[in-house]
Amino acid sequence: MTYVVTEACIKCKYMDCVEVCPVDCFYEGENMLVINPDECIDCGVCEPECPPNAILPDTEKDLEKWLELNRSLSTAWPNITRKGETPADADDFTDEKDKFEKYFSDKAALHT
Amino acid sequence: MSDVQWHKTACNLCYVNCGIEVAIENGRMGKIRGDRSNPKSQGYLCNKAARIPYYAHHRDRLTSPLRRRADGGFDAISWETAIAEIAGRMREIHAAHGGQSFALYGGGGQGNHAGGAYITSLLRALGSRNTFNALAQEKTGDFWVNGRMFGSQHCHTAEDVHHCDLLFVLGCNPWIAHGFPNARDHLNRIRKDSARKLIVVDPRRTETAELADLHLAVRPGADAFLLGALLAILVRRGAIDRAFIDQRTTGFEAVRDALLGIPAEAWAKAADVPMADLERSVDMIAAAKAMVVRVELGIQQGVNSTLNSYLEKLLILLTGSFGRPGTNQLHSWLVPLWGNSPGKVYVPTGDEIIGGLLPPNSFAKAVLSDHPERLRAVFVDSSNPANTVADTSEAERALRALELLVVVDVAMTETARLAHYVLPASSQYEKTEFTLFSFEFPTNYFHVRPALLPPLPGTLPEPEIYTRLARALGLLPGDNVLAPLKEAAARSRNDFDKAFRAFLMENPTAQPIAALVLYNTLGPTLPNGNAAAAVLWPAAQSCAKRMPGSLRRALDAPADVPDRQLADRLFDALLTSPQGTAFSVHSYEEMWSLIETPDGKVQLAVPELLEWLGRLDVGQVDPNPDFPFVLAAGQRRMFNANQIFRDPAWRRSDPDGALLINPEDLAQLDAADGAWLAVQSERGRIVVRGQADESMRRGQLALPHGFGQAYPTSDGTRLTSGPRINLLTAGGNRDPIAGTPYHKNVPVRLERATAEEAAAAEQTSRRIREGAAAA
Ligand code: SF4
Ligand code: SF4
Repeated sequence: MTYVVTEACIKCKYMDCVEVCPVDCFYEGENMLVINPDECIDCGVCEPECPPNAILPDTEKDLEKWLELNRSLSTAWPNITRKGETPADADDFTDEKDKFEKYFSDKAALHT
Repeated sequence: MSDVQWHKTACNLCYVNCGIEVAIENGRMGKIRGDRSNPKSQGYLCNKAARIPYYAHHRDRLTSPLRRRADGGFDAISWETAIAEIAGRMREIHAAHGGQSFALYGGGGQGNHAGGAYITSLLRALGSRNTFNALAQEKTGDFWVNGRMFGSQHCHTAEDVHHCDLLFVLGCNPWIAHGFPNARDHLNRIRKDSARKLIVVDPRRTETAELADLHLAVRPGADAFLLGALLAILVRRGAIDRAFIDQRTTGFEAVRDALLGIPAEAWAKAADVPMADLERSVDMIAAAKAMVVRVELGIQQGVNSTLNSYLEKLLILLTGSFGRPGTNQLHSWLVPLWGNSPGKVYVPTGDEIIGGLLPPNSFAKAVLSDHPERLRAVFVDSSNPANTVADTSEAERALRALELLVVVDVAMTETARLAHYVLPASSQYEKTEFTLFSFEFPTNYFHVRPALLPPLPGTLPEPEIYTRLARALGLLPGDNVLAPLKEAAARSRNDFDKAFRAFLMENPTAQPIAALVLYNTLGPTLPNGNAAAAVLWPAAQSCAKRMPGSLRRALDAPADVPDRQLADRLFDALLTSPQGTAFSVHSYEEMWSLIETPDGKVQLAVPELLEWLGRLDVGQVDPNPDFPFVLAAGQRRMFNANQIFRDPAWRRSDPDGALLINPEDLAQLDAADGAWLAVQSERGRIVVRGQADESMRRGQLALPHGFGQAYPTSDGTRLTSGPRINLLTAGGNRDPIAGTPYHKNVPVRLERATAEEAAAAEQTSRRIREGAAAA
């Protein structure tokens, strides 16, 4: 049992979730975050923090693809424990559809 | 975002009491997150904490004192009327039957012990020490064993799961139930580290068992056989710590002889566990540098519970898994949560009083017997015995038979509905609260939580309620008498100290009521509105007297601070640290100072329990032909939490509190997954939703605790959600020493519910779910 980050995070990446996670299990990609399902303790405190409601419990339907992506990308991407800077145009993407097809990137975040 | 303020406090849903931060918005609790500045939990919390607002704000909160009418309805009355009438009844009963006819039931829950300190004080002043509470339904067998082995029932073992390399989980499911700080985080760490191992003993393949290196799927009720066989193999193979045993314990020979007499193969068979798995457990124990044993109600409410607790302690001690990092230890107390009452007997029922507590399983007898000292007046504080005591029908009969039943609670509970008077308390976040759940070693913590919100109009914090009652009864001295104490408190702590000592010398009869005197004199001078913490002032003094070195380290007090100032420093730290504070730091060698046997050694041989062990007969585990299923009544799940949540909307899963059953057992009943089933025991019959679950053993069933509460729908109809499990349990199915119930082993039979039963249950369930969705 875990929570997973889903499509709505792409290009929004507000990162409010990162601040509340008690076990620091978020990992940062170029334009979205993921949760490491093996580290997540299913507490659910991140869910209401997400403005576009991208974080969902894996008990919801049709999340297999996202669970797999969270699992694989979390081992490739760097851990993030403090909220970084939200993209300036994040609000423009909160309601956009089909973000996965249009913008998904498996690149890790660049940290200086 | 209008006016959001974040406050530090603690979760009140289980005894871990994780530090949380709560957003207060427009006078209500909103978002909740972990408090990273909490020295114990460091930001951790579980899935339940975010739901606390459902406890604090709901439509069934009480807002006025109530008096029951003859027709069973209630009239709202003023606080003045309620206090005057209750005090009048108390006086009459006291005059006719004395203090022994009074008792307290409860006195706090998982997040609130402040009120308990004050009602206890009030009852002491009346001459009663009779207290029934949940500890005596769960833990008193363990306390009894600790009293015999460690010299005092106050001695209590902690577990250092965080540093063990072998975690031995016995009758609990910490992935779901937590029970030690940051449970899931640490289980994950153990799972990922190939050098750290996990053994789980549980009939069910629990979520924790899924993570284990070895799962011993013991037959329900056969824990003593499994533990006995395991210990026998340990001793036979010499996989014990002789150096530790020789240096730190006495009585080994008698224990060794008893264990060598165990027919391990036959007992392993009774436990339905392969010998090879027991041998492998012994290999893992022998290979471990630091084993810690984590136990809970699975064995403490299982058959042979007090014996189970003893065998668990022998496992810890014979392997020397004690008093070192990563093992079990004793822990300190700021104030012990329970008493030490070896050999005392409660005459009306003949029960042994353990830890100063009386067993709820004997509550009905204590009221309904014809003994002249039987109970006639009971205060129920933050407790719901009508749902939580074994044998609900009998418990309700006893509650109805009382001459005076007063319930102090935040909501209309099943017990409150039977009370003569119901007094509305402020919620745990509307007043100062603390708990005495300080179970850590080598650093131990205490947390005083100031109010986050003002009391809901019409409610009062418990210390205030008991102050008013004590005044009305003439037990608490009047303002004139207390005035000099108040003035001294306003001047300085030092002045107050002197004045208070002098006051107690001059008024020895005020001794039992001292807690309420402190609340009313020292209390108003305390910061953050923490008057209710006044009772911790003598606790801080006693802590400084008992363990100045440990306290000094916890406070990080420089060497030039004299010992006599440590108590005040601790008290001030408690009052001004809403994230909690450490009160003791021990070295491992110093742990031995917490043992209270005369020679400072652990007494391994407890004759009564060795005799019990010798009497064990494998025939005990044979199935009962009339009741072929074994029900665990009171399983911990993702969304249950004692009786504290009444609004069903708080749950995110399992709305009906389903009966878990092995799919093949369900198929044999010809019932579909999700069908309504009737569970029949010797005492009663209830209708529940059946849920097929592969993790269950054949013949084993589980129902959750924390259900069976009535909550009003939007049109005011009260609907009871989920099972009232104690309609099935029997008061006599209990431990012979502690009187604690064998809730994990309730013999039942199963059948499909009748069409009428199923239709009614389905309709209630649907209405509750619709109401929850709309909330
Ligand atoms: S559910 Fe809890 S543990 Fe899991 S990612 Fe969210 S905040 Fe972290
Ligand atoms: S583990 Fe217990 S105290 Fe901690 S958040 Fe969960 S219910 Fe609350």
